[in-house]
Amino acid sequence: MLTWSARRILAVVPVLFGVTLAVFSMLFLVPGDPVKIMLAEFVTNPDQVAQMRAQLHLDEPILQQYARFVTGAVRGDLGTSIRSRRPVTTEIGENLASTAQLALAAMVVAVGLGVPLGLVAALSRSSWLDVASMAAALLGVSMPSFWLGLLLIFVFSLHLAWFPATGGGDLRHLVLPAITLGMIAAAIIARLTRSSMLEVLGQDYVRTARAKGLGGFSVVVRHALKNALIPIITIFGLQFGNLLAGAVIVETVFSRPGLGRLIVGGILNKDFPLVQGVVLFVATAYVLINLLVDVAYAYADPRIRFG
Amino acid sequence: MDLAQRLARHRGALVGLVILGGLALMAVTAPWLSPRDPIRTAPRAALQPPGSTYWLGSDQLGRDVASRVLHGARISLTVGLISVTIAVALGAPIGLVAGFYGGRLDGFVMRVLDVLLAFPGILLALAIVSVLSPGLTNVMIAVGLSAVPAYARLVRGSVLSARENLYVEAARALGSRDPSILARYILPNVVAPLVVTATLGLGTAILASAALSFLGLGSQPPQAEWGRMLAEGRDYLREAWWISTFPGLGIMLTVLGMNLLGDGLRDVLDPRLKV
Amino acid sequence: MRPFRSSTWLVVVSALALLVLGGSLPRLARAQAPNTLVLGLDQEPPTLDPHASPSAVTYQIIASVTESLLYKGPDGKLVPWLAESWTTSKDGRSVTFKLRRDVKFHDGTPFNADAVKFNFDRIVDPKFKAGGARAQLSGYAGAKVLDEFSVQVSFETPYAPFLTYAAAGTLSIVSPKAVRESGDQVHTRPVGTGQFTIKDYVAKDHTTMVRNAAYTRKAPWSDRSGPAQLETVVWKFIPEAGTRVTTLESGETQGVYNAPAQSLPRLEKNTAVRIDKAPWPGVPRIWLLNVTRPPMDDVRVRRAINYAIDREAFLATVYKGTGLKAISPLTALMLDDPSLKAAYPFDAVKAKALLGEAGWQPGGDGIRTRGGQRLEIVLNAIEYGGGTDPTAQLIQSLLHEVGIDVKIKAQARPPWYEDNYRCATHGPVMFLRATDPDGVFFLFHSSLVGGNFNWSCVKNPKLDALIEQGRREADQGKRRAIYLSIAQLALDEALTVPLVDELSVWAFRSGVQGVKYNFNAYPILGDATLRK
Repeated sequence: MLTWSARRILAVVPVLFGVTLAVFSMLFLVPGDPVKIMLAEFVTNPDQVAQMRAQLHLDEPILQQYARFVTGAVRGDLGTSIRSRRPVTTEIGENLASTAQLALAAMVVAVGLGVPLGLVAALSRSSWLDVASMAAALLGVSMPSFWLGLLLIFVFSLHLAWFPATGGGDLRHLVLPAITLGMIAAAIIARLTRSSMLEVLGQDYVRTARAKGLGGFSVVVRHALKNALIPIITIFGLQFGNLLAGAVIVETVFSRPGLGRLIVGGILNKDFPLVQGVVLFVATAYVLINLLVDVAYAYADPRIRFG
Repeated sequence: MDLAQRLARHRGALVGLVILGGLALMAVTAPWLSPRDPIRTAPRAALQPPGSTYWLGSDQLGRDVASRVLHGARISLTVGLISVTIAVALGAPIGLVAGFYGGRLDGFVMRVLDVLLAFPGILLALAIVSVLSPGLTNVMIAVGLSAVPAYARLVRGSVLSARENLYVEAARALGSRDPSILARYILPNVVAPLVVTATLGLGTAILASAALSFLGLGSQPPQAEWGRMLAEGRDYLREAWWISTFPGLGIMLTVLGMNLLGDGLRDVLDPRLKV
Repeated sequence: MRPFRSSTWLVVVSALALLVLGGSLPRLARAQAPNTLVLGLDQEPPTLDPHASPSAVTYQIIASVTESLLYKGPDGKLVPWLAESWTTSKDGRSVTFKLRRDVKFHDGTPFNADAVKFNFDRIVDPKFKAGGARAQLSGYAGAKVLDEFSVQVSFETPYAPFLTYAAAGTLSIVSPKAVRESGDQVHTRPVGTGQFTIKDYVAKDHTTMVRNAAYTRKAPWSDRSGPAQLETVVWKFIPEAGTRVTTLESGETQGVYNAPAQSLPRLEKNTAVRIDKAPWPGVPRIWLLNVTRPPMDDVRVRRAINYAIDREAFLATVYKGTGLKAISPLTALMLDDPSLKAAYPFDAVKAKALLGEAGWQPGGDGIRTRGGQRLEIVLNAIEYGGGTDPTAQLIQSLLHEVGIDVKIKAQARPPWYEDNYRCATHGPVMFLRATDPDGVFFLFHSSLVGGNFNWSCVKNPKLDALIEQGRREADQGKRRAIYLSIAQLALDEALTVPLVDELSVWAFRSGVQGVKYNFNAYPILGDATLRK
């Protein structure tokens, strides 16, 4: 187990290096002079341009710049935001909790809605319930999250005034964004649950268990469910990454503080260091979360380790 | 053709095809079908509810929502098609070469793909747009490029499994050359999952580009693009729900059609496809 | 160890249910202290320090927290406030204020001539990052403490606008001790002498002010002496217009600023709500035309644009019920004259004729061309993240009618400012709150090209001379004539396209009474009461 984990963890390192390289190169792929583009608001006399260039170490040889970038990232220094003049890590730190909250709450919604829906569809087998549930799931997967968000705002904020339409902070502000973000993931999970459950239910061992008269419906379902959930867990990490990315849009719809608004603001502000820092952070988090899920999952299911 | 027959009998795929056909028709005939010029403002007729004068209502500047929705179909379908074309045109060859020739080339390509796939969802597209600066063309490029790794991986996977096939070994033993092996044994294995993924991917691309436009990073005024229309209608949700609702419906129907068709193709081509 | 026991997801589902149910309980009114007024603002102020803010929203709040030497109400008359009386010197270069003796700052320190000197010196100090206040002390030559309650403020040249500015929130007086000791907190806890003190500030959410019980005087706008009636006022920052209005309708707030035009019909029908509309002094919503950038360097093109813009279009949509036609670079409250009204009636035919005269002939795709070049203009707009400013889109559409292709460059504020400083586009749409017609100095004086706010990039010696003259002229009648000439010259040269005289729109629940407004149309809450 340990060697497997160690190998898995080590495999992540080159990927992370690759990620830093990709993010680092962003600045150099900008058509035009990135320094001039960044220096809005602060007048562009040649001295200030030169000063900023020196500040960003853009005069040094590229390899040295990259080394500086990577060592900085490892130490937790992701540069300074051009607009706010504050360290990027501070900006991320202030916004991280809100996004993490949203992603987690959305995950709860996704699983809490998706799994039961998929189960209902699988167990009711070809009745109208199955068709209806899957139709709903299909709609969910096709729906743009920003449209769903606006619909929810329309009904629950503007008309019923049950939940606020914008802002962050407490639980009330979390509900609508979490439902928006989670519903679409719920649809994906519902479809997956259904197909996975159907496959498992058709397996020999299930039929055998039934034939043996093993305690009826719930026992069979429990056994089948545990196996059916395996592919769902597999995509757990993938879904979380999608939720992180989807949070960008949902946060904008609900004017909710978070990494999403940070990055969109950074792009509109031409604040390259900020955008780079956030992208690097999210990508790294995604890689590490996937790693964690893989390791936890392998610990739980020995077949993965040795199979 | 057997395939077409099977497809025609698949209800979901049929519905999808009908939806897409309708949308394509709307998109192509938009200039003639639109009751009014989509970008022409009529300030005194602002915020009219749907009715006999304005079928789907008028927006905050008096523009005809119906005309804008029609033209939006055009933009969305075009953007989706171009994005997917970019993704396939770049991704498929990479996957093909990596999978077929294997070895160190494959190893290298896999590393690069792993890195690119470390950027979840829309993040890669956002990073590319930040470099290129906002605009619809750049969004097309960004969405297209960000999908390349997925297609490359997919094609590589298909090539690898096809390579294991006994036929291939036999053909090699008989002295067949690479190009003919590629053409006769590998490519047919690749086409099916590629078509399914591309169809589904079309929906994803349209969603992504609409999302980027919603954020203000894509289409520019006065373009009648669905994502932008949704964003503009946001301030008027209470008083004029139609401004955001119809473009949103448009996006949903389009993606729904793609999903139905894609699912149908998958069921018909090979239900066991792990796509 | 198996992943996901069925009991686990039972817990998960229950948690979800609780989440949804918990939020669906009819919203209990937030436990507010009695006699608390909750107001919704459309922006968060960049700072609450009156000397450091460039933004009008600060002064909505500050109007009840700090006080100035003089006060100017909606009637436009200057009356004593922290200064009991004042005299201007014969040469017009200095003003001597006799100060009240019974005033203390919220932190207990005394208000006196030293405090006044400290405040003004602070504003002009190059190490201090001042906001709009700095420009109001142009030519400041120092303040001399004559005795404990007399101070003489001097300028290098006669400076007529000073008295008006001395009545504005930008030059209000804060506690020197607080400035010296509180460091960064000056931005969130300004210490003044007014009827309310700032109790807390939660970034991106709200700021709270509470009654100053030690206030014993009679405020200039009031009939009674003593502290404010309200105990607490909470200013919430609610940038999203739809939400803001909803909070008013639901009672979560009892007043909101800037309800959008489209919500007004509904609010006006609502008997529980009343709407206060007030004009404010300054520069109206205006498009500044960059006269240095072709094709706008041709005055005929600029005049054509003025004829092509139908101001009614704005009043029928974005500013429906919240504005009046703007006729000059100064709002009608500051300067009104028939000659200005007649300047550029909407006339698309004339616009086209002028463009033709300038050599721009109708082109194939509806856009005019001259020598193979298309008539293109770049409008600098602010991107609010989502929809583009409808004003910009209207301009684009109206000019399209006469054959001009307007490209909207939508960006966030910092790059927007930069493009304005560098005269890099054909001009932005903006507005300015200004207490004195001297506001045109910031708009048109050649020294401010590349700064705030000469974004028409105009360098006109005749205009400069008039503006400088207006600063020096003490006589009201003569001043008005000078500013009229300035406005007429600006219109004739078509340096701008005045769009809409926006009104300040405050909507209150009917239980809120006694809200007054100062000359700048900022609400003053000293006499406000709340009846539930």
